[in-house]
Amino acid sequence: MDDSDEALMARVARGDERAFQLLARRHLPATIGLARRVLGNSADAEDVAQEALMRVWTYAPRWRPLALFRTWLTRIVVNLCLDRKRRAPWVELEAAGDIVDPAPGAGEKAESDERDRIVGAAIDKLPPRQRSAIVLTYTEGMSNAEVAEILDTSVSAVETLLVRGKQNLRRALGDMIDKDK
Amino acid sequence: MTNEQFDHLLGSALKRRAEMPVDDDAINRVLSRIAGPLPKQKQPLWRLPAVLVDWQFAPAWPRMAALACCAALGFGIGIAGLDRPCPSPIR
Repeated sequence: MDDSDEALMARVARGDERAFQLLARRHLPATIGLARRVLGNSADAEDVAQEALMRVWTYAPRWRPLALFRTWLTRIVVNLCLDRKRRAPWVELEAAGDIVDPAPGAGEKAESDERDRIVGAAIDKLPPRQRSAIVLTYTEGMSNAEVAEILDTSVSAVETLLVRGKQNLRRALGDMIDKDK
Repeated sequence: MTNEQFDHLLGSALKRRAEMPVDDDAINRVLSRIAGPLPKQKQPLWRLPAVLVDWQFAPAWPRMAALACCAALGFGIGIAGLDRPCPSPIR
């Protein structure tokens, strides 16, 4: 039996709950991960993932395979994250940082973790659309055209979002960059 | 730091962030929340015109026959003049 996303969506559109569970199980880790990176909050990310999957179920009969299922799901997740950000203030992810590992080489790892934490905190402070563009480009590995489709904007607007986002990050990470020079 | 170096720093930091695994508990929590009775699905809006276009008359022959009988009866009543009021005897 064809168990591609598109084939499963065709079954979901006919009200097949088993196909929906299969599709949800397949995409849930990526969905929660993306929502967590855009929102910077694990609890909210779970809520968004749940809501996104419920939308997949509800609107499945209206879905037409013009784009990949993954692109459609990513668009739902990003839109839900942006809606949530408009309603609630930002909450930083792992503000307390990680526990330092006493193992050999732990010093380097701790330094790298600290750097990641600072970069993460700087990204969390970006405006929602700049942040979404950066997360989709750098962590999801999407092209500007795909990001434009997901954010419902033009490719040039995505390029502008990325340039401004990186400028803001450079400004926010100024001290860390200077230290590395 | 050049733009390329900054891109590399950003890319590697974000990639490491992306590699942080999503714990199974979170996945199971969401799966259990969507396992319950699912809401009604929204049907596509383009289904209605499709239904009208694909309308089949085949099973409607009895109805067509009834319509034809009504038309014939009406024609007969009209020709026979049964629909006209009787002339009043007082004029």
